[in-house]
Amino acid sequence: MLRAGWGLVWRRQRVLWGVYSVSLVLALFAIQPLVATLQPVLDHSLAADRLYHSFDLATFADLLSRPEFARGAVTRGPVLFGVIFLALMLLFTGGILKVYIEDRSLATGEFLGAGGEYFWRFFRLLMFLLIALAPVRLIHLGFRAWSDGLANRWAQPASSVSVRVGGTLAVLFLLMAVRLWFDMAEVLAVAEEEYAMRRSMVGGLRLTWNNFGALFRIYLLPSLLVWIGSALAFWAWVRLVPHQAVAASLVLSQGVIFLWILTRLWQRSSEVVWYQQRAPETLLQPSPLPETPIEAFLRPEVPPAEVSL
Amino acid sequence: MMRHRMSVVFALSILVVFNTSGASARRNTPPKVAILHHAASDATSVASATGCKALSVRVVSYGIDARLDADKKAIEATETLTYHNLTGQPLQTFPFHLYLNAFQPQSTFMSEVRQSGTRGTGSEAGWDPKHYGAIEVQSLAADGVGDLTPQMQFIQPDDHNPDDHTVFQVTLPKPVPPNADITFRMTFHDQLPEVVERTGYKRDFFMVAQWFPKVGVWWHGAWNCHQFHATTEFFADFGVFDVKVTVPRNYVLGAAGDEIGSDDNPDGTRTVTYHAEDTHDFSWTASPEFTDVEDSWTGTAGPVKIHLLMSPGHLGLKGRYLQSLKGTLDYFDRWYGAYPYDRITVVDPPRGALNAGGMEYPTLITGGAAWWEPPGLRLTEVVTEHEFGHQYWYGMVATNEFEEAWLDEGINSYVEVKIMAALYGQGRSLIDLWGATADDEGEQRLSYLSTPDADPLTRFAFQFMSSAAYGDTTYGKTAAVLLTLEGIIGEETLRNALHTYFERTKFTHPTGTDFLKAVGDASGQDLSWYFNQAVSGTNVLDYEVLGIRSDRADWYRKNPPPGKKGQTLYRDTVLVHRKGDFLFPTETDIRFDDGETVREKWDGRDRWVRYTYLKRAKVISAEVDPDHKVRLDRDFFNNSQTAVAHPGATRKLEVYAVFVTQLFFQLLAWLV
Repeated sequence: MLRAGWGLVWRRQRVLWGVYSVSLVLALFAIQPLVATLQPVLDHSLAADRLYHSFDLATFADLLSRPEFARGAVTRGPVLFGVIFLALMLLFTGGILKVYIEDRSLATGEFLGAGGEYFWRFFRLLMFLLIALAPVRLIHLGFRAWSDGLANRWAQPASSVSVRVGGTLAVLFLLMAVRLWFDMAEVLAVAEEEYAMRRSMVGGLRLTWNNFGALFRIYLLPSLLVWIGSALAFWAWVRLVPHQAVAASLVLSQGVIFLWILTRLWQRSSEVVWYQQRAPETLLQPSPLPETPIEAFLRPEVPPAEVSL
Repeated sequence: MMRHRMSVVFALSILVVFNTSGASARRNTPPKVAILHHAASDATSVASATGCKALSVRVVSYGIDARLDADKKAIEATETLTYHNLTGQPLQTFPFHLYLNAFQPQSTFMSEVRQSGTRGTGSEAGWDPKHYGAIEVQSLAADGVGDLTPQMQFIQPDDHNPDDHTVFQVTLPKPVPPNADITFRMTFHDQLPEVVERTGYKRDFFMVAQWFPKVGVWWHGAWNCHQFHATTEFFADFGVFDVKVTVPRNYVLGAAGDEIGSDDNPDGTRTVTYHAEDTHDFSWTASPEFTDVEDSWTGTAGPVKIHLLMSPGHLGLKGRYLQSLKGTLDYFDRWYGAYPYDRITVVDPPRGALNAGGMEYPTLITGGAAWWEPPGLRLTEVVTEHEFGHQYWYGMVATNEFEEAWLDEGINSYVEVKIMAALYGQGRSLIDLWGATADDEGEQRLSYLSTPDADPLTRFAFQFMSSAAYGDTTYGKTAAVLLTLEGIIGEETLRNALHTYFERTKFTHPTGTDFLKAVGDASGQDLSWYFNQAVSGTNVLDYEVLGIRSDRADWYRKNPPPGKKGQTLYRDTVLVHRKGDFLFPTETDIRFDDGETVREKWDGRDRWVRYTYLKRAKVISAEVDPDHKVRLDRDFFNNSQTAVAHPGATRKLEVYAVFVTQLFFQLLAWLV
């Protein structure tokens, strides 16, 4: 499944480059206020050497403590453009899934048209996702309170740290499971041209619940790849990249971002492939969805008019 | 004390009004038999119990017998205090500190915490009843006088807050003549707070500090006995301590004295007897979970026994504690003077008790460590270094921490910078982790930059604009002042000055004047111009290169020939500006594109100076303070200017910022 998903990403790599480009361009825009603040301070100052030929944290903190940085120069841009990126990803996701489901390149207008078609549906799914994350947050707080309680009772940190680490892993697992559920809801929505997002959610939940092992593997393995890749890149950056090698830092850091986007799309494409290959048979197993004809899942290639006959 | 660099959040502020009667004196205790007798006229001649000659003028002699109730977090104790009246005049009134009463919602200490916070506690934190602490003197009598309990009255010499019970005084029926002794006998009860501001308990860990009634200091012709404030520490006379501590038998004890006896009691407790000489405070710690790591170090005054009391989960850090401690002992011994005590105890507070960490008492210090601390992050080391440094700047050179905190915390912060750099490397003494570095000097400077102009160093600790201003000025600014002074008189000279200051004033209560005189004597210079601004003033030092320019000398010609390096004549100008109000002589290096560098000197009295050259070379850069000696300069970035932009640092930060921003985008996109 992952191999087929990888093939899909590779064949439709315009999607990958497109998302990466948008991410890079928006990030470049986002940091312009910061750059405009840095340039007059650093470009003509010999003190900047302590940031260029090494990375002196005190000098960096000294820089950030200047009044120019107190007005949100560092954070305003990224937050604003982060919201724009989020909106664009809401817009693109429908198109991306359509590309993967149909395994064909879409013209720009077609791609954006598909995205626009699903924009508000996926926005509703985003709202549902936030609601679904609330219990995860509560569980996280519960683990933290448990860990703090143990830390308060015992001087030996092992027990509280174990609970904290175990809790973090459990929450991470839950986050992945919830994301997987909503991924499948999105696949279902596009594949079945579903309008009712609640139905997509229920269908996604059923798919995920009944096939958790296979689906989780699809989600986990690319995630592991990105974590290991990021750690290796960090190690290489610390050990191998000289302080003043800005170009090397750029290549390495952009490689990491590219890897993040690549693996996310790999998860998406693998989920699509899985859905197309396995979902119809798994959907037969549980009780039928109340408002969605099973035949629609069984014969997606058949025009709806014929199904109704 | 060390301001915490690690985030420790304590919920503490004033919401609940508590009954403060726990500290009130009882008035119905029967009088005790007492004898007023004449003491030896010179306490320094009194031989110590161990047969050694006294190192200090021993004004006080405390005998305390304390029993810890580990369940109630309380201490029942008796105290015998013999005070030698060496003031040269009769004394009738005696003030005493009751520090533990600061931990009550209506105390001056807590009011100040509410106003501007203190270490580990933000000003908006609520009052937490767990932090309630109290000391109640149940009876007080004096030999030859009788019961004085009815005469006890709380006083508030600093702010007249009637609810502050951190100082009481007692007036005797007749004065104690000069060179006479008086012996006070007290019983008192401590209720320890959950650890807050250096003292208290956490689970079964106890850090018992500032826990007994302590007499004030007769100083400059008056009693000096300030209330306990959120930003103040302590001041006391030297003397002898004989202390018995009774704790549950399974507890491991550590204390600011030599253990001279230990007896197991039938009730499952153990009584350990300690003796300390030529110190001015006594604190102790107990926990059943301590591991006592013993080691030793030998200096010019002989061997020193090291007790490192490690908390659970921290044993892996013992090597880092010991390396820092022994290295610090080495440098102090070599640079400033011999460590005369035969012991040093380092307490490693357990998890959750970090507010007991980073504190100094004579021959006992508390560290601060976390199990996760990576080797390149030298928090354990810097706290250990700093607190040990106080054995000199507070322990032996016993300045008044209420009134001149810069003399202990500030000098100690400067010395911390020097020793950390010597031990762990210049530029990376504090952090050397994952390619990023930071030194202690930079950290002190950041602290100074936070509040560079609010208060002079000489302000009383409890009169600073805020808690932050106290910390930033007392620690960070003093360090920057002394590092800059090093640039004026030389590193070696300042080291000699500190050595002289230590040797002249150890085991006394010197003032800032003594320190400045030692610096003046060592340097042979009149430095009043500097001290008036840096120590007594709030002047801000900031010089900048305002502009550099190279104009062709033949600029007026209509079609000048193309410029040729080394041949074309230029009029080069460099404009240096004094932005701040601190007058300081400066040097400026001006570099030209023919390789020549000119060093210009300026007394800095005017607001600006322009250097002009007619040369066959263009100026490529100018830098004020090229040797980076003026650490007080508020802005290092404007100290230099280059003719051509060098965008390397900006590009580097741009790359980092793009990466972090994209990573943030990816986290957001995970929601879709």
